[in-house]
Amino acid sequence: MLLASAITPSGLTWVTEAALASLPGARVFELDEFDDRDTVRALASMLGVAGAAVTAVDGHGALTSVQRTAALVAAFEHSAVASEPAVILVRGSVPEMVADLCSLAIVLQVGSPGHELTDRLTSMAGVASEGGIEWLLATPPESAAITTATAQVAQGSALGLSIRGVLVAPMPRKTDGWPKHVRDAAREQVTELADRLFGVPVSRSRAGAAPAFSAPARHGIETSVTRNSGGEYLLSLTIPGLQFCDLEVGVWTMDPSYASTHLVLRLDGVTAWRSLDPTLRRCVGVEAVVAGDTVTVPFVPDAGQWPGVENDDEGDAQ
Amino acid sequence: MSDDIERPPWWLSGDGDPSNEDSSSDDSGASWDMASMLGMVTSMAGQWWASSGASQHASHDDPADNPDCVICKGLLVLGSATAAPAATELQDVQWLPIRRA
Repeated sequence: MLLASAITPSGLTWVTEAALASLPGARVFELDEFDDRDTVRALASMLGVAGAAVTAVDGHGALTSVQRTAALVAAFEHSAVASEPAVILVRGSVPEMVADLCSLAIVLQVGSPGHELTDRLTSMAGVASEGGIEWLLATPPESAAITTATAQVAQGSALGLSIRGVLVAPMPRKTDGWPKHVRDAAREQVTELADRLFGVPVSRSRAGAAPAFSAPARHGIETSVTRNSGGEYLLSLTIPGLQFCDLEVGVWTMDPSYASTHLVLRLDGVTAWRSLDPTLRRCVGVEAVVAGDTVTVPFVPDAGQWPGVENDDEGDAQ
Repeated sequence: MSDDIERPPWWLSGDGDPSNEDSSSDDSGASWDMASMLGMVTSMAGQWWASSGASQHASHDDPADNPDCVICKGLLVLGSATAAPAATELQDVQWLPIRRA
């Protein structure tokens, strides 16, 4: 499944063109096509019945979030069985939508393990975090839009999405009468975006046409675990565009047997949960060291989790 | 030069857009607090799952008073904010100090 979105509404036309050029034979759907109106009506009605202590604005936002999560799951399940590739057009922020899905999946894992709905959301959240969902983004070559696109790519990468690429369109054309300094400035924006998102394919429209992003999408986040001479495990994550976001890093546990089961990344307000492997679950996160687009979290082995092992090289995981 | 100043930003004008659709600025970028979202989404999800037996959550004001409710249990573990939508922190997340190398 390829999610396609744009920073501006008119960009959806461009990103659709690019998606179809990238995936010949694909079928394009609007996310809203998967909307379950009965569920939405039921939710709206039940909000009143429940008397939820929320403001109208928050209530609308929450309702929209649930509606979009339900539609996203339906689109995912449809594409899993469809014979042709599916392009899902999303109006709004894809990272915010996927973050909502993943957070809700975690809530369900804690509060209702084993439930059918828990399994459905958890399944999709797992596929998303492992790079099984691709994303193509379009942005105009304008400073504020480029900033937003940078943050969104960083957020999507942290969530585990595979980034097919970023299309910059429409470009101002000489044939349309745009002066040279405007055209030059637009090209500089494209270069700057490519520099910010090192490793992510960034292409601009040419001669009024969107290019194909033919190369397979790359997993947005690169993760590695090493061990230093002091016995600490160093979890490193490289996320394109990370240095242009407000970053918070934390650890959280859903299992009291461990100090932490998840690494929590919050980039410009969007939260991504990264499941920790069994070794790191037996350790305690110390700090987050940020260098460029890489954040490294040292984990110190929790003595209580390593019975009979001294804090030396013998404590390495098997 | 004056023409450039009087014209709207070119990328909002729709020029070059094959559809010539309206290209007004997207207003969907406003994000909102995750903790509040979790609390409210979970509250509504509790309604959604009426068939699962979780519908009784609708009458639960304080999750701490209802440890047997699956939704309240989730809210307690995540520390979400059903009772306080204005909460700005994800409780129970241990935020780490950040050091810039």
